[in-house]
This record gives sequence, C-alpha cells and structure tokens, in this order.
Amino acid sequence: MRTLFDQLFNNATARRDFRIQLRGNRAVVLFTVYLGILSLFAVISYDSGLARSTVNLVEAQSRLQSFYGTITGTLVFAVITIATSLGSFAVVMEKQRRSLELVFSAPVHPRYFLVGKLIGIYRFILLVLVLAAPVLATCIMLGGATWGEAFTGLWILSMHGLIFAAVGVVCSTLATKPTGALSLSLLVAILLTIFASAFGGTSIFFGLRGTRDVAFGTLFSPFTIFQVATSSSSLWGVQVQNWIPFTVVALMIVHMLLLGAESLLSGLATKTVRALRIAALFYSFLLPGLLWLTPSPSGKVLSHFFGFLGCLIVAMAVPTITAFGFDEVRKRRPNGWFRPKELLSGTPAGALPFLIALLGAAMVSVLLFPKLFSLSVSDVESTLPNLVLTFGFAIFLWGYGRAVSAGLTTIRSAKLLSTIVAIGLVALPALLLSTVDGQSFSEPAAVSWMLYPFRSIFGPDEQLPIGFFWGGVFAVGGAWLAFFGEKRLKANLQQPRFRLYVEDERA
Amino acid sequence: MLEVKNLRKDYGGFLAVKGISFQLKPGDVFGFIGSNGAGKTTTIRMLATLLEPTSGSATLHGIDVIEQPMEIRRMIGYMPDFFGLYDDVKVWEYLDFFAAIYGVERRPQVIDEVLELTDLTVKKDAFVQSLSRGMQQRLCLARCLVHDPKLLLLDEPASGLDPRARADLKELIAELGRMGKIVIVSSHILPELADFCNCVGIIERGELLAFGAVKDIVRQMQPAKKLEVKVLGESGSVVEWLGSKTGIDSIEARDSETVSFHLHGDDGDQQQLLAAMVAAGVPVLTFREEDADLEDVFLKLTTGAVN
Repeated sequence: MRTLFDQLFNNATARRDFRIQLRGNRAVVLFTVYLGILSLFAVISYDSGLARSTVNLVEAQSRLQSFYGTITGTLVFAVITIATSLGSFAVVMEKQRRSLELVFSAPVHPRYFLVGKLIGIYRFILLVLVLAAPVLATCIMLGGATWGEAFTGLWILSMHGLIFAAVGVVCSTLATKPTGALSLSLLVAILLTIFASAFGGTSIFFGLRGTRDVAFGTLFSPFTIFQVATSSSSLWGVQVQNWIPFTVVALMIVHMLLLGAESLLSGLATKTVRALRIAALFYSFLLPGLLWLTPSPSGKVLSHFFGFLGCLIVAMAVPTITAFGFDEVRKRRPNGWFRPKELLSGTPAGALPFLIALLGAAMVSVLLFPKLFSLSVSDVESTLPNLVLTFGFAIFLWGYGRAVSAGLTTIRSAKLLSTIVAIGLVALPALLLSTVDGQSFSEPAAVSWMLYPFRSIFGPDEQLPIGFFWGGVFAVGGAWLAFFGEKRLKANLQQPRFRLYVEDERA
Repeated sequence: MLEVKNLRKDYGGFLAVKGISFQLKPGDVFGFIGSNGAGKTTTIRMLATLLEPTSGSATLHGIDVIEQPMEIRRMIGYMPDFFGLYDDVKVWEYLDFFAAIYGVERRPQVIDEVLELTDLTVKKDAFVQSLSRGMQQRLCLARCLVHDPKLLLLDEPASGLDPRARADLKELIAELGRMGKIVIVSSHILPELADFCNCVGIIERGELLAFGAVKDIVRQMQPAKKLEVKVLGESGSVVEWLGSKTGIDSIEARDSETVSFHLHGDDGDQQQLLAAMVAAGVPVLTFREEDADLEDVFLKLTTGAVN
C-alpha cells in the first residue's frame, strides 16, 4: 500500500486535478473576476466608510477594522463558495464520465483518490488566498489589522476551505449528477455556515468577556475568523493560540468526512467498511476528549459544541447508514432491525448497533476523559443534556429512515427523504419561530423558542436542561417510527414490487 | 494461468452469471461471445475486481480475485466498453496519471514505449478530446498496458470503430497475445474474433454454453466438413458424381462451376475424396474446406434470450 507521504505529497489525482484547474484561459479569467470583485468591494467599502476628511482617531480605528471586516467577509464568502463548488464536482464528474471505474480498476484505495481530490482543491484555495494578499495588505497598511492577524486568519480560513471542500466531496459521492451535487453541497454549506456561525456566536458570547482568552470554538464561525484569529486559550496553565487546536479538530472533521465519502465509494461488508467503522468509533471517542483539552472560560460552551458537532454528524451520517432498498450496484436489503454482529458490516441491521456504539464512545469520552487526565473541568455534567439530545436525534432519524425505507424499494429515495427531514428539523422550526416570535433565541426568557428542538445547543446556558426533554421526545418518536416501519415492511413484503427482498432472503 | 471456477453473480434473486468455469494460459486470446445482457460484462467486471462474485473463485497465477483484489489489480489491464477519458488532459498526462496510480517507475520511458506500441507517439502532446475514436480506443488500450499487465480484459474494444481502426486494433490484440499476455475480448463482431482468438466462449443468460478453440467448437456443432470444389466446365456432372458417394450430403451447385457439400469424415477421408475425384477425371480447379463459421455456431447455440 502507498505510504502516507505518497498520499499527501505525491498524489497522482491531486497532480492531475491541479494541472487541469490551471490549464488554459479559464483559470486566468476566474482569478481576474475574483480579484476584480474583491477589489470592487474594497473600493466601495473604503469609499463609504473611510473616505472622509475629518474623523477622530477612535472612530477612524473602528472604521478601519470595519473595512478589514468587509474585505475578509468577502474573502470568506469566496472561499466557502469556491471550496464547496470544487468539492461538489470532484467525484460526480468522475462518475459521469465513468473514469471512476477505471481508477478503481487500478490498485487504488478510495482514500488515496479522495485525499488527492481534496489536496487538489486545497491547493486551489491557497492560490485564492495568496491572490487576496495585496487587498489584505491595503487593510494592514491603513491600520485595520496586523500582519499576524491577517496571516493567522488566512490559515484558519484555509482550514475552513478544507472543511467545506470535504463537505462538497461527500455530497459529490452521494449525487449522480453534477447539478444535484452542487445544489446539495451548497445547501449543506449554507446550513453548516448558519450552524457554525450560531455556535461561534455562542462561543464569543460566553468566551470573550473583554479579554483575548476565548474558546477556540469561536473559530468555527467562518465570518468571525479574522476578528478572533489571534485569540488563545489556557491549556494546563499555558496560553495556546486557538488556531492550533482548531487546526487539529478541523483536520479530524475533514478526516471523518473523508471516511464517510470513502465508505460510500467502497463495497458493502468489505474490509474497508469494517476499517472505516472502527476508525469512526475511535474518532468518536477521541474528538470529544481532545475538545476538553482546550476548556473555555465556561465549560458550558463545550456542551453547546458537543451538541452541535454530534447533531451535525448524526444528520449527515444516519440517513446514509440507515436507509435500505435496492440500487444499481449494491444491495442493502432489510436484514433485520438490530443485529449486533452486523455492527461493522455496513448492512441495515447493523445501523442501530453502530449508532449506539458511536454515541456511546462519545459519551464515555466526554464523561471520563477529564477524570482520566485529571483535567480541571468543572462543568462536565452540563454536557449531558446535549449528549442526550444528540442520541435522541440519532434514534429519531434512524427510526424515520427505516419507516421511509419500508415503503420504498429504491434506496436513493429513502436516503433523500431522510436527509430532507434531518435538515428540515434543524432549519424549519428556527425559521418559523423567528417569524412568529420577535425575540431572539439567545434570550433565556423567550418562551416560544422552547419549541425549537435544538435550543439547548444554540440557546443560552439556562436552557440547557431542555436537551433532556427533546432528546427523550426524539428517542420515543424514533422508536415508534421504527416499530411502525417494521409493521409496514412486513405487510409490504407480500406485495409483488417487494418480491426481490424475499427472493434474495431465500437465496 | 487464469482459472475461473463456478463463478456466480446474484443480484438479489437475479442471476446474472450462473457459475461459469474456464481456464486460460499465457498467450491465449479468448473471445467472449454473447448477446447484450448475456453476462459478459458482469463476468469481466468480476475478474477486474469491480464486482464481488456471489460465489465461485477466480485466480490469476494463483492469486485469488476476491481475497487479494489489490494484487490482482496490479496484474490486470481493464478496458471497459466506454472510454472514461478526462477533458483538458494531454495524451502523455493521461498515461502518466495511470502509470502513477499503478506505481510504475521510469514513467516517461514506459509512456513512450506504450505510445509506440499503440502507434500514438505522434499524438503524445495532443489533448485526448482531439483524438479520433479509433485513437481514443488505442489510448485506452495504452492505458491498460502502462503497468505491463499479465491479463487484459477488453470489453467490446472494437465497437464503433471504422474498418481501418478495427483492423489495427485486431493486429494489436494479436500482438499482445504473442507477447505472452492472457487477453479476454468480448465482442459482437464474430468473424473478427475467429481471426485472432485461439479460443472462444459463448455465453447466454449467464451460462457458458461452449468453450474451446474456434475450430473445435465449430466441429462439435458441425460434425460434417463443409467443402467446396470448383471445376473446369459444367458442375452438373460433379454433382452427379458426388451424389453417388457415401458420407456426402447437402450437395449444392453454387454456380455453373462451383459445388459445395458436407463430408462426414476426417482429414483422411477428405484427402481420399480428392484423390478419387482426380482419378475419376473430374477437372478440379480448386478444392477447399470452408472456414469455420463462428456466427453459424453462435446462432445455433443461442436462442437470443437475455437475462
């Protein structure tokens, strides 16, 4: 097998993709348009905020920072859009021109291929960031920011680009057409941005307190990166720059997303799927533990973050591992609802055992890690509501996935319906409540926001306990849906269109 | 040596391949014949490790296709019935990419060699989308050869090619066989397969109906030799003379000089018949056995049913 060095620094897929990306006039035109837009924003922003003859020093400083914020905001938008779009085309284009089959007829592991795709996109993102340097330099020369803030911000933004590119790659693996992949990727990217911004905002709200000592969770909000780029956290009494733990966790998130994409590209019940599931369990244990290493001033920030990350992973992964049905190549027939021995096989009967193991590992990590490593974390218990909520959400989506699959024969429809519900559950109540209720969900007294199932994640600390309630509601609802799905499946198996399931069982 | 034993593919009650078995040795060029949906591509994809067989086994030089797919992939060159070419890539870049993922050393030299073998050297710096269909097909074949595979799986390689390109491809495949590679070629163009394949297999509805040398299969299906004799003058007397002999039937005067007939016998009987004709004063101009007709055999063996 290829070494990690080969995978990262001598990757044929990355080399070829990068070559194609920079070929011909297309790249020149694209970069020119990008620089033009960035410069235009800079000029408009400068003209409206700074081009005045008399302002006092304090106001001038504030306006310069605002100018810097506008430029970096545009840059963030550009990077997110470009990274997501490039990621969304990465696999689906190979599928469409059917070159994916040629690649996998060679001794190539899906990981090598996906890492290559991601490296190709990351190189392009770095180019985009380097090209923005002259515009950023203007801000620095004018006094809106320091070089340190700008470079650290660019590094963190590149990590965000990597995460969004990985999101695009996962969507690209799921989709069959480029337009579908792009739409799905952009939708997920928008939701992820909203999710991350809300979390980052929460982190800032609890973390800033007038100092530069803020939880590194703030860096997950793409649009505040440059404002808190040089912040730090206290780790075992040592001040650590937040971009360091952020980079570690960002790479872990990217790795997990790649594992998801890899499992989609690998066959079922193979060694690859087993290895991937073992890796996912390991990460599920490791990631929450690592998050404890950079405690925020208030441990409750991590509670929000655990809930955020957990629900995000659940929403992305559960529809895929739960749905069953037939597709063109693979076979995911309904082989039962709970079989522990199928934990690592990737079949529908192993979905629930895997989910329990995955979330169990996370819970054990969250609760035991501080004790194992004698960390001075005072608020371990505050993480429980959001862990229960995550678990309940997973059970709900699992039950829903089985109920939907029971009525359909094609796995693609089942996955799509499950994903829509997962996204809808997060987004729709928030939109509805913000329309109906003028109050912000961050206000502890906003009663109607109690109806929002994810309030314990995005809301204030006072509302954390509601996570227990909604976790319970989700779990009971999921169990009922699964039960309903089983009954429906048994009835449907008598019908001719489900004949293949029965014949396959006999075979 | 490629050994396929009872290979079976079941798509949940839908049997695409029903336990086929055959053996091929280095240098064999095997023509895989069957209608659309007969199971050719499924079999080839299983051998290419792209599909997991439901049961059965396949080994190449002792290495199992299911147990050690990565090892097998290093030893095979797979050319599907589509090109799968990248846009905006030059010919040498395309080959360089595949050479790199196969871990080939001395890539520039290997690329030059396969380009020469496939007669594409002049197109080395051309973009792949600018190549003609025949050239793209040859480029795909070149891609299969960059890592010097021991087994070549070519799925419908001649489809859509003009006669010239088809002839070139045929010669190239024959050359690969002479180089000691095992070549499996699936095709609908049966007369061409008979030209360069030393053995063929006929598959229908996932079952291998016949396997062996072209001549042997034709002999099995057509026990009588199909002979043709051309005489000087009128053929009427020859028809009469042949009719008086035993072991001869289906006598047919094709034109005023040529007669075809079936002889139930071996090469010795054929030689004796010619000697008897000459001794009887039949003015023989030519006397020949008609080539084995794979198409006739295929049509006789198969019903046209598909999976």
